[in-house]
Amino acid sequence: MMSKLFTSEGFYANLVFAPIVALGLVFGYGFMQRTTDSTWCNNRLLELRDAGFPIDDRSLSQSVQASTSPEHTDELLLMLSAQKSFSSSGLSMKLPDSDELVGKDETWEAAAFMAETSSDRSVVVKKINAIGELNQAIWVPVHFNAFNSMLPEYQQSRSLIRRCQEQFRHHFHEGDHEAAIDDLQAMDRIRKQIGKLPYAVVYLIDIAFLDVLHQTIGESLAMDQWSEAELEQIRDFVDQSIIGEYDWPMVVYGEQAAVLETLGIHPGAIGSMSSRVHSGLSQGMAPVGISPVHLRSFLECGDDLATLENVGEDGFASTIDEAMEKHGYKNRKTLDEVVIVGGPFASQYAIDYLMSAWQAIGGAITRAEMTRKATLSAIAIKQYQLTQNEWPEKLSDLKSVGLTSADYRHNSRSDFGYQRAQQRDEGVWLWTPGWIRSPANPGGTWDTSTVPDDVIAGENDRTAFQIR
Amino acid sequence: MNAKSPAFRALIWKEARQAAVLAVAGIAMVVVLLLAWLPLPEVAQRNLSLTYLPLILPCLFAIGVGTILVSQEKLTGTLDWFNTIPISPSRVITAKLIVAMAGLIVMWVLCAISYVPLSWLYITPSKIDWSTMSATFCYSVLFVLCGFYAAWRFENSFTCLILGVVLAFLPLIAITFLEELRWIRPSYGNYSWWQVVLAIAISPIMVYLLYRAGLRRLAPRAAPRPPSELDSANTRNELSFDAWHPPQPVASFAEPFRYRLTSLIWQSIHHNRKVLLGLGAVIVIGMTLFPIASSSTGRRQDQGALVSVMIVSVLSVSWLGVIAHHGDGSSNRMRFLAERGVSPTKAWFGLHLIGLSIIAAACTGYFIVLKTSAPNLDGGKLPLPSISFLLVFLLIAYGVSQATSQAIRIMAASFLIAPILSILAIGWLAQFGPMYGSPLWILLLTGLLPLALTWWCMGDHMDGRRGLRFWVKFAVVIALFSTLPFAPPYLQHLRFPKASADELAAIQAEVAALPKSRPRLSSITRASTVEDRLELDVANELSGEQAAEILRNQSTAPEYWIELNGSDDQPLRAELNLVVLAIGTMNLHAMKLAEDPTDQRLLETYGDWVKLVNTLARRLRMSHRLYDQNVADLAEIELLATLSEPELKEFLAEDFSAKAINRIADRDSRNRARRHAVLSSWRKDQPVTEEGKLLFHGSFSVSNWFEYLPPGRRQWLAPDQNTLLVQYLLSLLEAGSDGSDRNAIEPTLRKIHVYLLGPDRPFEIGPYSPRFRAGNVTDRVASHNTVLRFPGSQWFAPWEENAVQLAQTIQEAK
Repeated sequence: MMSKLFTSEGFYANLVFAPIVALGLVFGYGFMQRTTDSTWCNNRLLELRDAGFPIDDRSLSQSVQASTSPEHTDELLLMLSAQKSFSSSGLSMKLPDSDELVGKDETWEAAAFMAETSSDRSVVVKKINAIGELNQAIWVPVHFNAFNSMLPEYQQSRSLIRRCQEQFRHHFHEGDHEAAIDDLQAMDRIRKQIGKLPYAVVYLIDIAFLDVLHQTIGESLAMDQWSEAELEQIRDFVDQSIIGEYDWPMVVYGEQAAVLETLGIHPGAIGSMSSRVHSGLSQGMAPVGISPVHLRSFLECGDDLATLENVGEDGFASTIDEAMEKHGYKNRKTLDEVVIVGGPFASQYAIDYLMSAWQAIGGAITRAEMTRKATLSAIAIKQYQLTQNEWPEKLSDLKSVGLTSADYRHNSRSDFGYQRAQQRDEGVWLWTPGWIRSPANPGGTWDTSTVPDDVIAGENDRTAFQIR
Repeated sequence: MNAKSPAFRALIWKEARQAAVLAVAGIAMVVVLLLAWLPLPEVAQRNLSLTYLPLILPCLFAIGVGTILVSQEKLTGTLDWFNTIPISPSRVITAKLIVAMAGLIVMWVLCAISYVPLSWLYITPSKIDWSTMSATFCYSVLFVLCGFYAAWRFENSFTCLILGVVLAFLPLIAITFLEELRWIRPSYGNYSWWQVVLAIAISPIMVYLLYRAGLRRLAPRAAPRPPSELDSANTRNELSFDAWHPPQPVASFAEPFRYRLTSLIWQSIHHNRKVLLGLGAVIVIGMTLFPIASSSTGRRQDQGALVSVMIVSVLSVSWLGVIAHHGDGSSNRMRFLAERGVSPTKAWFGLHLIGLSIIAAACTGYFIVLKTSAPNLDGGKLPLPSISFLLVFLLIAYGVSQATSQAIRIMAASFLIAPILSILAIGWLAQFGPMYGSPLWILLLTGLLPLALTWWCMGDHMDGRRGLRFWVKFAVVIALFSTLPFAPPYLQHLRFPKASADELAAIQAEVAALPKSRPRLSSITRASTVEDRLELDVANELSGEQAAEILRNQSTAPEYWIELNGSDDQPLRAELNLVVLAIGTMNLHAMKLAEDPTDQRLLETYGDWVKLVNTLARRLRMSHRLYDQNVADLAEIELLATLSEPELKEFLAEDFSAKAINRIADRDSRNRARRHAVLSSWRKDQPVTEEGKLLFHGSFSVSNWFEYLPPGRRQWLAPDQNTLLVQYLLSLLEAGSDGSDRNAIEPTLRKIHVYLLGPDRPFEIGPYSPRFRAGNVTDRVASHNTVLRFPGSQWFAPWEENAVQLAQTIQEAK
């Protein structure tokens, strides 16, 4: 019977046809999957657009226009232009301590230089403060072109912050605290004044501005020069949580829109079999067609990220990691979705290549909020010392100067580190979890004898303040 | 019979003629590869280096000569003919070996000679690595000997080829393995000394073995024994071929001979059962291992092995195509079927269904492995192909290979040439997607052409006809294969907007009227100031007092910082960085003056910088470069915006302000300058720079334009884009010069937007949209880079009208 089976023509014909039929079934399934996913993706993008979220350059531009005003755009452009002048700024690079904060009556090598150039910076600070607080941020004209969008104004605004910081150092050294607080106010205002594009890179620039403000305030607390009233004014700059400032869903969908625009994906054209291999990726990226299967996974990942709660809290970055891993976007994972009918390669690879910013921005928001709390706590410690004439014994003592326990702890992890120095004139130390650097000597290392081992062993991107 | 006997010489001549086919095939392949490689872009040429191209000649010959001289004769039955002529088997073996070795030396000589012209063309290095070459020569001898041994020893041609290669590689593999274990070290070129020594040592052994195998094969066959009563009926029938013991009459077949498709499949399988089984297993295993090899799961060494399996499996697909038309007895079988009226279509399906089935099984296996084990695999290092792409890839490799084997009747040649042609064909088609934007369906259709070709030629192939008609069909399909992917992008190119002949003639006439000589452009440079000297002299740090002293000694006057070279009536060449710095300095002093309008020193400094920016703009306007006109626009826009600042309006009556405003308000001069620059940017003999691409237009970098077109199509545009852009800009000048109707220019702006940025980019968010034009929403322009990348983006924007009104206001005030 068996031998007859193996010699029969029918058996061999079935053997030959079986894989062809099997592959046909696989392709049938693939086409069904493609159709279903294409429809889902088209509908989802239209839903997002109707809900006011950006899905492409056009809607990105519209959402930016809706949330900003061109009223002060010319003034901003004038300030930015004036920062690129034939000036003596190149000289400051050659000064040994121009980047240091030095208290009044202390020797500062750069003092004479800073005094000479003060008028150049003063016009910027005054202009920023004259613009004041705005109901709508300043519109910055941007030629939107996905990730190639020109963002020089956002990049150049760093120089405005830097000018304000230099002016603060100058005024602080001269003991002109009123002017110094004006400089801090300008630093705080300029980042709020410039309308933010919902690009991760723009948010990262904004967080870098915050870091400069916090670092500047933190450095000044080591000098024992602020009065109680002045501290109250400074506290206003760090009193509000920054979480509310960041429209997290807009960050997610803005970045998603940039990815979609880069890949040339628009509603109505998804899943079209007439699509060309050459897509929107003309800037040297691999030419890939984007499969609806992967596009759906990408959009679902965006939806999951946009609805994440506890933005800015400890563990938020890891929650982003989990959400991205769920959809296969961690560690360049390309294997969890099979493309049957689609472009040449697993398009998830291309999407993955473009979307690493979410993790960066998530982590940056968390760190920025932690640093803000640490700065607030440091100010409160100094306020406590000025009112009680002694340093607080523990951080919970700060409730008497208006702090809540949430202000001096890093959410689920632990309270900030706090320690009084053995010598009274050395003040106290405050550090966030994972701190490693010495604020007094940023390039060097901390005297480990005064800080617990588990703190030293942590990450190096946290904050520490000496308060005197 | 001595070596000079006529019979031996005739034998040598016969073998040489047979071997010459392989030599010609090798030369043809080198030429084809060279012709396919030369037109590639420079980057692709670097990636696909042809350093070892001439080595194809001896290597191809070494691998295939044994099969050509022995296996091919077995296939055609001519080997047994030697038994009928008075020449000893050892002479036959010697003659074949002499021809093979002589041919190999000839191929090496050709290889060495071809290095000379190729090195002149920088295709191969001028300095030859003689160590590697001499070691490769030793190996090529070993390949010849192993190929001969396998050819004498085994009947199946395909098996001979594979085994010959494997045998020759064994010493290489063994030594590599020992090297991995660090037992042996010294190297000789790209080989190790031990590999060379082993190749030389094994060669005499192989000569002995092949001689023995050849003698056995050429020895007269033993007469079959007569059937015995103990044999089965079938065996008795097989043995009863002599007239004294005729076979038992066979009972009539229950069914007549059938030509159903299933019968043809059965026949195809049984003709090449072992080979099909081997190739099929390699292909299916290789493809199913693909996801695992692509992931980072597992050890690196394992991955190397997996990748090797995958490469072999792709080669196997090509060989699967080769045996479709070259399987043992395939040509005889086709003739047999043709004589019995089997349709070519049915025969074609009978040949190919098995190959297609193996490919389908490989793709299905790939899908199943991916679907079931993907979640357990770590991130991939390579982008995995989709199932459809894998299928198309394999089908093209199979299709090209089977077409090659139908065209080339020498199996050894097909065996070696088919994989190379497959890769060339895949590479050819693969470039059209990203380079020219050809739709996927046309690439798929083109990829299937080789399969359609063999179906078309099947009738001739079955009849054994190789006439003109057969080759014309091949030529037609090759022509289609080469041109079809170009068709859709070329049709789109034809529909792309172009300047008409009349428009071209009009432009030509205007350009001809321009002065032949152009004034020399003067440069803008940074003045050699204290700061510059400082940067050169003081490498390290300054003391605070030193820096302050330098500051106190510095002047605020423009000439202290910037030099506009040449006389005042000479045009300038824009140096953007310095222009931006000059504008910035003017704005800084404007801000300072606005803060303290009573400071006469500040007013003086501000006035000096206004004058400088005004001079910059004026002299940039004189330039014939279109780019300089855009920079002049930027300077004038900033100048106007600064002069119009509310806090500075009281200084509008100052001489420097009035002069600047009056100059900016002079629309006619500005438009004449623009028109001159637009026309100057057009050149009949446009400087064609790299690879036919137009890199600059009026000193604009063209790389920022036409990003919506695939790179290949951008190159096609090069000669036309110049003329059409010039025509659009001239239309813009004509529409805007009137100045009465602002809406008249918008259609032209839209055209330029669509032309440079593509129809899919919304006009409203592009650089030509009203929102970005100075004087509409803002008086200044953001993102200088945006303004300066697109010609005419600020032409006839409201700032021009604002300047006229401001000039009138000043005039009236006076």
